[in-house]
Amino acid sequence: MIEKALKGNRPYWIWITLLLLVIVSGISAFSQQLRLGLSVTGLGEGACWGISAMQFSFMASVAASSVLIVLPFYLHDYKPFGNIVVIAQFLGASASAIALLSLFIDTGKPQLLLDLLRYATPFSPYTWAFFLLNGYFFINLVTGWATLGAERKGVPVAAWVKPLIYLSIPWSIVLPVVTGFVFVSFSGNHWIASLLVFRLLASAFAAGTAVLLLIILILQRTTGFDAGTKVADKLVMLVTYAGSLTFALIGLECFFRSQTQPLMCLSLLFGITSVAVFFVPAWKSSARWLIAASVGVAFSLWVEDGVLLLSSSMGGVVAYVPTLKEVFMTLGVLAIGLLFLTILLKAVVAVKRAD
Amino acid sequence: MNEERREFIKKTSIGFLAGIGASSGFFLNFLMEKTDASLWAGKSIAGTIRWGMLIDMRQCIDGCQKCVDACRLAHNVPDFGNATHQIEWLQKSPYREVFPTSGEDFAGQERIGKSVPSLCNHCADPPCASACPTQATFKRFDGIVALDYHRCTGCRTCMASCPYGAISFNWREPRHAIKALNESYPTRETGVVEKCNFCSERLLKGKLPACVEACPEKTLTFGNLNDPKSEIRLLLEKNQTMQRKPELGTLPSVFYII
Amino acid sequence: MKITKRNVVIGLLIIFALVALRVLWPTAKAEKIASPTARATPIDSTVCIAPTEYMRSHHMQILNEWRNTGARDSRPYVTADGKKFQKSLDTCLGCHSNNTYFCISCHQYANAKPTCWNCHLSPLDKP
Repeated sequence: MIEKALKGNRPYWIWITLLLLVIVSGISAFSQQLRLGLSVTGLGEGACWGISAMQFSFMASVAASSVLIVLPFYLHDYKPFGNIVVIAQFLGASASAIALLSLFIDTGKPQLLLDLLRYATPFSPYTWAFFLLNGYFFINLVTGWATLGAERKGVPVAAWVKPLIYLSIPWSIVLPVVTGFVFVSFSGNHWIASLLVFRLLASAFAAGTAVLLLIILILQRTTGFDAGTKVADKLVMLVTYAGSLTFALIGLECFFRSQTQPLMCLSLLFGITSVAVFFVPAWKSSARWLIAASVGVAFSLWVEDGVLLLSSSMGGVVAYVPTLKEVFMTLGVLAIGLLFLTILLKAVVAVKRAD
Repeated sequence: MNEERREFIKKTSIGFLAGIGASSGFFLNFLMEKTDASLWAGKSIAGTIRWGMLIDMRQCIDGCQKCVDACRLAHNVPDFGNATHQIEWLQKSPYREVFPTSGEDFAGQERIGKSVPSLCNHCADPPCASACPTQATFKRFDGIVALDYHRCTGCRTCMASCPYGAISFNWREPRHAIKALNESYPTRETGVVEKCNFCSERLLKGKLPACVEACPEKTLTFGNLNDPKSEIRLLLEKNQTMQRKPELGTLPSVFYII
Repeated sequence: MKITKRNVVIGLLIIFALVALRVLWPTAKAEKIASPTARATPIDSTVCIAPTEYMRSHHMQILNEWRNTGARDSRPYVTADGKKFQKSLDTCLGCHSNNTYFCISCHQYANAKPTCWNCHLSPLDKP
C-alpha cells in the first residue's frame, strides 16, 4: 500500500517538496545544536523549556483524541466513523511521533536516549510520557495498517487487532493525563495544578478533533475523498462540545487567577471566537469557515500549552523569545510528522477510492 | 496467507519471544532498579546521616564573595558572564529573591538588606529527584541530593521542578569559561545539568565543604542533622531559624538565621 | 473479544496485580553508616586492581561498571584478593597519570574515543 505514496499529482509533489525543505532546514539547525549545545535556542536560566516542549504537549493531546473516533466506532458500532477511523489512528500515530521527536530534540544529550529505557524510573511522569507515547505510536500504526490492509483485500480484520484497539482506548485517556503530570511537577504551576490535568484532557479532545476535521476537509478538497456529511457533522459537534468545555475552563482560570496573563487571554479570545463559528449554522456548512475555525481552535490551544511552560517559579511569565534555529527545528519535527501522515493518508485514500 | 508464510511468521515470532527471554536480564534490571524507600521518607533516623547547613546571616559580611569564589574554584564552575546561560552552585542574591514568601516584606534594612547565600537545599523530599526520568538526580544515603552526570540526558525536568532555581544547565561548552582550572575535580560537558553537591568529594576525605572552609566568619555551619550532639543541631536548638519556601513541603536541609 | 464473565475477571486480576505491584514495590533497607570518615577508602596506590593482562583486555568493562555505579553505590570496589578501591577515575589516574600518554597512545592507535575526557581532566589537559 505504501507504494501509493510514490504516485501523485503536481500539488502533492509540491507539498512533499515543501515538507522536505522544512525537514532539511530543521536537520541543519539540529546539527548546529548538537555542535554548540542548546545555546542556539532562546532558552536560558528563566525559561528552560520552550516551543519544542509546547509542541510535545500539544501533539500528545492531539494523539490522544483519536479515541473520540475509535471508541464510538468499535464500542458503540457507530457506522459512519468507519470511514475515518483509520485516519484518526494514523493521526494518533503521527502526532505521537511528533511529540516524541519534540522531546528528543529538546534534550541536552540526545545520544543518551536509550538511557531513558535503561534507567526508566517508575515514578517519573517524564518516563511514563515517553513510554506511553511510544506505545501509542505503535498501537495506532499497527492496528491502523492492519485494518486498512484488511479493507483493501475485503477480508475481516485479524483477530489480534481488536484487543489492541481496545487497549488504545484507556491508553489515550492516560496519555494527556500523564503529560499533564509532567507539567504539574513544574514549580511555576502550583496554582493551576488543580485544573491542569483535567483541562489538558478536555483540550486534547478539542484540539485533536479540530485537527482531524481539518484533515478531512483538506482531503475532501485535494483528493475528493468524501467522509460523508454525517462524519463532518459529528466532528463539528465534538469540537463544539470539547472546545466549549476547554475554553470555559481556561476562562474560569483566567477569571479566578490573580495575575491573568495576557498570552492566556489572547489564546482564550482566539479560541472562543473559533468555537463560536461552529455554533452558527450558516458558517458551519461552509468548508472555508470550518477550516478557519479548526485552525483557530488548534492554534489557540497550542498557545495555551505554552503558557503552562512559561510560568515562572517566582511568579509571572518568564521572558523567552525563541530563536530562528529553534523555530526551524520545531517546524522540522512537525514536517517529519506531516510527511509521515501524508504518506499514510495517501494509502488510506487509495484504498478508500479503490484505485 | 499461504502455509510457508504462516510457518515463517510462526518461527520468527518464536525467535522474537526467545530474544525477549534472553534479554530479560536487562529488562529485569531496569524494572527492578533498587530504590531505597527509607531514603524517601525524610524522617530523622538516629544513626543515619543527613547532612545539613546553617547560614547565620548575622555573621555574613555584605559584599564578601569568598564562599562563592571557593565553590567556583573547587568544582570548576564556569563563568560565562551572561545571565541567561549562567551556571551557579552557590550564589549571593538579594533577600527578597531568596525568601520571596517569608512575610518579611516590611522588615528593616539591617534584616533584609543583605544579600543571602543560596545553594541547593538538599531537600528531604526533593521534587527534582522525583521528576528525573533516569534517576540521574537522586537522593543519596546521607541526604545529599546528588547528580550522576553520566546518565543525565539533559531533559531539564529537574530544573523546571526545583522551586529554588538551584539547578543550572550547560547551555554551551563549559570548559572554555572556567577561569581557574582545578585539576582535582572534573568539569561538566554541554547538555547536562549541574548543581551544588554539598562537596561530597571533600566529605569523603573527611574535609568540610569548600564554602564553609572559605568563610572568614562563622556564617556557615555544616554538620549531621541526625546527630543530636552535632554543632549544627545545638545551634538549631538555640536559635530561631528558617528555611526557604517551607510551605512547599520539600523539607530543605539548609537553614538560615536572619 | 467479547465482554464475558471470564474476561472481566481476568481484567480485574490484572488491575489488582498492578495495584499490588505499586504497594509491594521492593524497597531496600537503609544503609547504616557508623561514621562518615569510615566510607573514605584510602587509595592503595602500590598495585593495580587487577593483573596487567586482565586490565589490558577488560579495563573498559570495569570502568564502565564504575561509571554506572560509582555515583550511587558508595561501597568501595573489592578486588579478588580483598583490596578496596574507591570507584573513581581518580583512583586509576592516581598512578597512571605518571605517564601523560598512558590512555591516549593506545586509544589513538585503536581509534577508540571514550567520552571520559568530556568532563574528566585527562593528563593532557593538565598543565
